[in-house]
Amino acid sequence: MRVPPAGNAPDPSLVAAVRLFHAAGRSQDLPPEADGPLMPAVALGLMDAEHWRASLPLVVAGPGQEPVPMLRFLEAAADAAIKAGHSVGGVRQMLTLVTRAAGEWLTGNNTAATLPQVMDQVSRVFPGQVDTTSKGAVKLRDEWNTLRGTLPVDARVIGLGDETLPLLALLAEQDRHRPARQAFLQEVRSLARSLSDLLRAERARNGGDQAAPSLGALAADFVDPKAFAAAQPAARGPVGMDPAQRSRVEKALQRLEEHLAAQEKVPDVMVLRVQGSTLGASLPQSCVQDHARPLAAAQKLYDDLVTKANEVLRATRLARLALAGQYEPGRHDVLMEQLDLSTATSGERFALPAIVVLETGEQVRAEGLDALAGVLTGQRPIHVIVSEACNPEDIHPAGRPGSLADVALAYRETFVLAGTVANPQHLDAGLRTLASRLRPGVVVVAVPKTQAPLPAALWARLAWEARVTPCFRHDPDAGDTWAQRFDVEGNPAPEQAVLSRTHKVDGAPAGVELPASYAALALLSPAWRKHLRVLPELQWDVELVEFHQGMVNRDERRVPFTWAVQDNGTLQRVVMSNALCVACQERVQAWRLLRELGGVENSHAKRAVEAALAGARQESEQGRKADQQAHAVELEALRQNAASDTLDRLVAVLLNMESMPAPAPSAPRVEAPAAKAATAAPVAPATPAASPTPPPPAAAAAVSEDPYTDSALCTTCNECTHINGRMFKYNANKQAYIADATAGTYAELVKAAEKCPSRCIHVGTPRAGDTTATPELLTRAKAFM
Amino acid sequence: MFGLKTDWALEPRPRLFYIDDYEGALPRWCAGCGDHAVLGSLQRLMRDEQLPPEKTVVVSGIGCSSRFPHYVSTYGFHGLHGRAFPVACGVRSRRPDLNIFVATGDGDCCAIGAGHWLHAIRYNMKMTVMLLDNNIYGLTKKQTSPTSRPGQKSNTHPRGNPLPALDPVRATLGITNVSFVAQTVDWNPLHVYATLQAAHRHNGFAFVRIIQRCPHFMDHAFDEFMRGPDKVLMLTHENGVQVDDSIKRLFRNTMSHDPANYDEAMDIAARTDVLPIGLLYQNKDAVRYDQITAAGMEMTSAEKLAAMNKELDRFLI
Repeated sequence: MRVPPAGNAPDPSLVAAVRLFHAAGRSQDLPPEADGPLMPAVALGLMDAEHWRASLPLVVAGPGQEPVPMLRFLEAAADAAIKAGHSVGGVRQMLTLVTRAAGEWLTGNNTAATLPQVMDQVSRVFPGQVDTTSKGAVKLRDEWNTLRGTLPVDARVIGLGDETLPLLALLAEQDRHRPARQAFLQEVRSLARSLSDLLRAERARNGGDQAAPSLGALAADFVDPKAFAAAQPAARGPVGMDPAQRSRVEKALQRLEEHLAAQEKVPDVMVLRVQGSTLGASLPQSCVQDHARPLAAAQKLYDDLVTKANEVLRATRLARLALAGQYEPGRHDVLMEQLDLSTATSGERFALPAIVVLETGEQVRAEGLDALAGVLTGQRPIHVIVSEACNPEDIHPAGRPGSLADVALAYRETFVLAGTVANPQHLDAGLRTLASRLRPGVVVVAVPKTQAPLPAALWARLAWEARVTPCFRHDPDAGDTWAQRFDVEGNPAPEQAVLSRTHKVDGAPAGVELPASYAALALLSPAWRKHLRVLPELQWDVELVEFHQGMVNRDERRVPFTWAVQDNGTLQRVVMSNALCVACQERVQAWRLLRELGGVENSHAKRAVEAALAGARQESEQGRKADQQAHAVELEALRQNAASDTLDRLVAVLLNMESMPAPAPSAPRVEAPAAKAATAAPVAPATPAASPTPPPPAAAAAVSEDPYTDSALCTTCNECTHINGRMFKYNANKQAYIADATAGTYAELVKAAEKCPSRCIHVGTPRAGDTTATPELLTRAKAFM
Repeated sequence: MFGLKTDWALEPRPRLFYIDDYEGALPRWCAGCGDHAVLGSLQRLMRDEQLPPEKTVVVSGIGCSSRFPHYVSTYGFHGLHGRAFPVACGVRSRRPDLNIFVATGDGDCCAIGAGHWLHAIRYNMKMTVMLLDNNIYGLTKKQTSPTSRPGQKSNTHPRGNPLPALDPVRATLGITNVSFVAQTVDWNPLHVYATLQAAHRHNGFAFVRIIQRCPHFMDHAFDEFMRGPDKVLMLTHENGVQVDDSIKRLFRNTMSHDPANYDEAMDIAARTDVLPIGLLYQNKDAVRYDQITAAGMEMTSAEKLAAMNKELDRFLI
């Protein structure tokens, strides 16, 4: 990339034309130019390795595991393989390419696939994308296969696409609800079993079934077991239930068994969407329900679930009391009637299936904001996941439709998450937090769909960095104040108003600052195209100002511009219309508001701090002045009195001279005890009373039986490989290791160790049956154990 | 549309080199020769720095160690005896884009090539110099070399070398405009690697003396240092050779030495009780002659012709 040379003196007519274009949008006086989107210069170089390390695709290693960025996952796998002694150093260096290829394939195809599928797809283009020698290509392929073999086969990969958001939401909700549901079902199963046993015993007692075997076959001929059982005093057998209690227990058991039978078909997460919507196509069909008005349907569904859950909850409570023999009808009947889910433990509340409404922004607006308001004010833990389109055509002079996240913020007891697929880790963390909250929540995520004129991943990142799709989170459970509830973490450099990067370009040693602003996105938007004009290189001396600098201290005479880049990598200055400048400023102000809410930079706090500082400074200044004045007064008084005081003292001395005692000899200096102690000779450190004797050396050092080499110290001198090329081989660093200790004799091992200039071969002990291991050889081998 | 690929990669296909890509002919050095360790370390360095073989050249003179270019599959120049430096300086002058390694021995560098050696130090052109010093002429079957120690018996001095040995490190330190002087021992390949890496990354003439065993003609010559780690003094500093803790454990005798301190470097080099290894001296600001000789390289033939004519026009009457 280079900066074109500065041009000649500006043409006055061009200056006027540029100003007219900026102020009134009239471009007929400017030289004509080709239509079509311009490439924002800041888009270059966004996709570095660091980006891939914190970005899509994500790998979910197994059930219950959190998603990890693919590059990090593969790097960790490669490092583990290297630690285990595999040679995968070359492919480790190329993992960014692998991740990029995987991301491209997933975006163009399925959004999600298993890791082996993704790796197979990537292996079709990799290592062909890497330039190697023929020997290197073979090695790289071997390394690729080695790494591929170490990866888990059941891992899933989630890329960037329509289904990214539904998949992440499903995983987060599933991980939260499944353990709670399974624990609750386990408890219900156990209670049902116990109740069943209780009733069986009760039936047996009443029917005399237990008395008959006790009486024996002979007695049965002349004693009626039922009559015998009924005649027994109550204290001698199980206490019988009264009919009302028995009926209650039977009903509770029936309810629990119905619940167990019904829950087998109920999924952990119920996803509701608009009829005909393709969103969530990759989710299991068992958990997806289509409705005409999913927001309203979700509320009804939740209410139905709660009604049933209340009955189950009563049944469990009754079962516990009945099994403990503590059910008291007079007390508990009333309580049972009042019992509902609001009194349940959080574990029991999470045992209900999660209800998620999955919609696009358009669908939510079509159903009406009143439906959304119904969800948000209803106190039901219904989570609304909104996939908001974010494409170049959405960057429009007419503005974007109001963000649903901003709307949801108005309901202050709602969990709100605004995210973007450009920061999937923030998104996933937010979704997991939401899944753990038993309150309504709204998640609004910017999802780009088009691959032109920029790849979706790059566009998403650009919009995120330009603060057009900022991330924020409002969590009412995090505290009582805005500062505790609201945060803008997850945005790049949140302390900066405008994120900018320095790009090295030819002809500008310090580089050029390229800001990521709304203007950069407008360059790619067809709707904004007529508000932008490329200025010919030779006319760059027209008084221009870079947009983000101009905002700070706006000089009306200077026309704002932004940077674009030509096909050949040359920077272009593109002047902006006033309408576009206003739109850019609106985004900056919106971002400033968010930062203020998040406490990143609060103008009120700043003003308060400045006021407090000014007050403190003023107070200290006043104090200092007062001290100085007092000091001056005191000094003056001393000066005035000093002469008379001295004269008085002199007169007194002279008058009393004869009676003055002789000056006393100066008292001998007595060293303070502390000083003495300090100067005393240092005392030898006390010997510990029971000084632990050093542990005896191990009776015999644990010596490995097998031979080995300190490969890092090998000088590659070929001595050992000449002695036995099958036993000793070179590793990827061209340093020797013992490839097969059984490929030679112990004598060869000892000979190699003796020849080794770096003494890095350790011979171990001979294998059984090795006839070369004579006593004389063993004596020689001792030096190389 | 923008001349960009859909994966927005402006860079060409990434290249990957393995150690095999730097392996040339099978080394014909004696088994156990210290040259093997240096060769292995250099190849690992080239691999780790991913130096393109066609952008790398190894230059040597004559001697055992000067067989280096044959064993590295980069460009190479096996030159005349003592003339490795003039060739390397010439390469540097016209091809500043190449990575240059010079392999030379104690005879090649310190005897017949001594004159070139001194001026190459002063020119301070960017290259990595490996002086493989085994204190003997090995290729010609055991003759006394300039660095042979007094009393050392050889075919030319069967009763022992009567002269004190030349110290290449002190000699190099004594030359004007010296910019990088280090010393290492071949029996610790990790230290050789770390030293060569520091030398390669130095922008200037990086001189590395590698004490190297000759098991055939000078067996046990360095045993006192090999078997007695206390006789080796490892120099450590944040600006010096960065080595792993595992190596530090091998050399218990260490000393912190700032490579910018020239006087201390001279004092350390003069010590005879220990063998110092590590970076003795580095001056990153020394003048580089290759930056001057490279002026005008970007000019086309026509521009050069025009410039020459312009100069000649000054003498028109």
